[in-house]
Amino acid sequence: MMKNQLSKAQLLRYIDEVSFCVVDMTLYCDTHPDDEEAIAFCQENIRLRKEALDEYARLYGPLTVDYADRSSSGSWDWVNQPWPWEPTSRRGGRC
Amino acid sequence: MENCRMNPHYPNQQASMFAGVDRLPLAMVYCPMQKFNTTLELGKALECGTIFPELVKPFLGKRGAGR
Repeated sequence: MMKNQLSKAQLLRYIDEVSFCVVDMTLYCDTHPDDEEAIAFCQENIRLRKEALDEYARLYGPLTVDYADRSSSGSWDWVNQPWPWEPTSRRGGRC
Repeated sequence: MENCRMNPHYPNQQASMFAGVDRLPLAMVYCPMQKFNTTLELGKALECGTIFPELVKPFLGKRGAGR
């Protein structure tokens, strides 16, 4: 997958960026519901966001419960991993 | 890196956006309809608070001053 060279922090930053793009495009599409070019751009970024969230969940654990089924460990990682707001070390591990 | 305080110039807007304004009825409020054009690179958009370059409107004023 194209995002697999990114560090944990870089992937999280990318998720922030593409999520913001989706939010802003949603606002635009709300007022321009027939703008095909804008809708296509929005949909493409929704797809990229899902892909990044899926990648993040697979590598580091789910950011939302929608991706909590991506774990291959067999245990409920959702509750064991650090929460997104918990401090982590520079390398992305737990403090 | 180019930052959000640099206000980009949009000649296509500047020239035509006020055409016909003087024929509009008075005392009404108008808002031009945005058109989908180019979009900012995702990282820059997050920093600027908008994906649309034409909506980058950095606040340049100071407390207690007009500009």
